[in-house]
Amino acid sequence: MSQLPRALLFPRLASVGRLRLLHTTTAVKSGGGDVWWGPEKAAGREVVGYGARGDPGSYSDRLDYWYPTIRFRKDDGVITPIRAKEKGDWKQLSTEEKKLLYRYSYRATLAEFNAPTGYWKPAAAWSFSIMAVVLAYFVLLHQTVYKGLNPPTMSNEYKEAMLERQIDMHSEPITGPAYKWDYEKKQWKK
Amino acid sequence: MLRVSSTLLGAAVKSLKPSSSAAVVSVRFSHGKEESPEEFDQRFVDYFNRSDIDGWEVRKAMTELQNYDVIPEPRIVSAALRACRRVNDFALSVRFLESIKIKCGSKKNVQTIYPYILQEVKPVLDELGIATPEALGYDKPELFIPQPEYWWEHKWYKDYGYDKKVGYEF
Repeated sequence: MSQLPRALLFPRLASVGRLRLLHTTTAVKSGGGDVWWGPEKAAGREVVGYGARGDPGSYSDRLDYWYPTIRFRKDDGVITPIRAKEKGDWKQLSTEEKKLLYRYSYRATLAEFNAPTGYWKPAAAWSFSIMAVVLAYFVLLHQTVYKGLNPPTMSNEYKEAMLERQIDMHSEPITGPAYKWDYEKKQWKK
Repeated sequence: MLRVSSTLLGAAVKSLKPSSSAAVVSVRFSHGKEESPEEFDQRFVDYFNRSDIDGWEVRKAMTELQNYDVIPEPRIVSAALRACRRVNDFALSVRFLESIKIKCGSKKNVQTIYPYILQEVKPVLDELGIATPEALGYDKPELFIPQPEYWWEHKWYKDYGYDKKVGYEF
């Protein structure tokens, strides 16, 4: 399982030294809450809209807030001429330009949002790996530690003797041994 | 307004009139008058038709519309598309057409109501030059969107331009 390195996940942490991590007290933050990386992530994007709470924040695709606050990509040399063209007649835009306009504003289309991600495969792999390890340990214990330590009640002789005794005592006459045993012919009922 | 619950199977388009019992309830328990479906439509159409509307307000109205259990009437859709034209945001118009599919909900509704709305607003689409998501090929997934918290291949760094940065040489 490979994941993003630390430097990418926590850019600010990577710039400060490793020693900072050893400090036992946390820095005082305004509001006292967790650090919010929204403005850093959104830097350079045009703030266009309402979003989830009506304030500029980070980009996210959500079915209940379908129109994110910021554009997905920064304006660059590719999109600037198309944006200028967009102010004119939209019939002049080619399909490629229309798709670029969409992709610079939004990350995923509805079809992509709803598409299965396939991440159940790593999850299933992890689950089955753990189950396999546990099962192997269980088998190992039975082969080594518990070998020959079964209680006498689990032996066949004991079970047969118990059944005989149940038949003699006419026990469980509706569904059990006494029902299934034919006492006249001295054998199991056919 | 198609005040059809998205979860309802069956009837495609149904206009509900406020029943008498609902009127009594509204008199007893609610403040003011209950909004009729026509007034609901008109409220959104009037909002989208404002001449000085800006992009923030268009998105706000669309988000609000998204919050109701309502599939927008074609006249609301036309007004919203014209509002997108006025604020010069082509991507927003395509996004709004996709949101109708979300509001349609079930597969059956998407197959019946969504084409009906597109057919009703076709004159507006042709007039403004708006392409439907289907025309852009967005009815099927085009790109894979990776979620780095779950899985990330080292070779993907190159696709995102990280191979030129320090610390990402693999």
